[in-house]
Amino acid sequence: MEELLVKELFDRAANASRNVRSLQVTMATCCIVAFLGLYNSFQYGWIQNRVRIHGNQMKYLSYIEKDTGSCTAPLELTKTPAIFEEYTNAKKYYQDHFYTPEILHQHYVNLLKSKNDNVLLVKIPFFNTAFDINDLAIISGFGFSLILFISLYALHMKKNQVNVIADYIKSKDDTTFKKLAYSLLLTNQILMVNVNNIQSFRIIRRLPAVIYWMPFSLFFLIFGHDMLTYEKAKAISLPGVIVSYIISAVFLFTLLILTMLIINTSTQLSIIWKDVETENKKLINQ
Amino acid sequence: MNIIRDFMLSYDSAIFIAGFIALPIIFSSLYDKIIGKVRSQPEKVKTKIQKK
Repeated sequence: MEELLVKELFDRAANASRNVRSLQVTMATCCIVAFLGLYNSFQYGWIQNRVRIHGNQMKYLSYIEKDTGSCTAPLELTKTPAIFEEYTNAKKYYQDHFYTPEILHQHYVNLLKSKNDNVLLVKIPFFNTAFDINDLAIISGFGFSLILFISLYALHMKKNQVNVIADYIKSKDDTTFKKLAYSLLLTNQILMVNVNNIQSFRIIRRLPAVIYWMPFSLFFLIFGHDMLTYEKAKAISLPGVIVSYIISAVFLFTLLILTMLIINTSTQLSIIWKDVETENKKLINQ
Repeated sequence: MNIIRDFMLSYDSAIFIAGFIALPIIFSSLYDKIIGKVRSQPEKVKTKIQKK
């Protein structure tokens, strides 16, 4: 009977670890998808720059076609340095790629289509659906809150399981059993948010906590970017912007609280792991 | 304010990539400094309170 109970306890500890690990992978995937969405929407991201230079080529196409390379740029384009630079870059790109007006037009249309499909819409992996880039804050805030909330419970569960089994092993007198049981339990350690007194490199010690701070940090950046691009978004829909800001502020606060709770629970779990490791070392040195 | 906004938008890729790497480390360090030490060393805190 006791053997069955012990096996069940170890199984549950392993399951709890597996749950936490799966949630960490999901968290990392969501962070990457959200960051890619943010990255593509940058004003000076590569896609936007390509669209801009192709747009300039279309704008100055009549001049570029007349300008064979040996003669100087048309006088009206040389008056403003910024316009002249735009024209020179557009001309260079056009000539370097051996474009003709038809090919340039085709490339420009393809680029705009690609921008609409991949920049203005964020595709969610596995779900075969997409959402508008302006809703990135709301969708990612909701997603991160949900994942952190589930992670918090999974970590609590893991902490309780490890605590119960560690206490059980400690209460036993058989040294061989204790050695094996501690070793078995220690295999379930994943991304420990270490306590201050653990001896290891400072950066490595901090990495797990850094990973837990990633969703909040990313959301902070998305919210910051939304603030910076207020003028652009306002031109599309002012009520939409206000609603988005209010919801984002709520999610930002929620994410901060959830992350702090997760770090707190992880630290408590680390203290239990530290005890288990100490006991294990004592037994090995005996 | 507008100058800061324009500057940040001009170098948005660089600033936000740096932010994505640096912010979790900054937040983690801040948490450690403000709350973390108290939470991770409860015995020391208890002793300090008892001494007072």
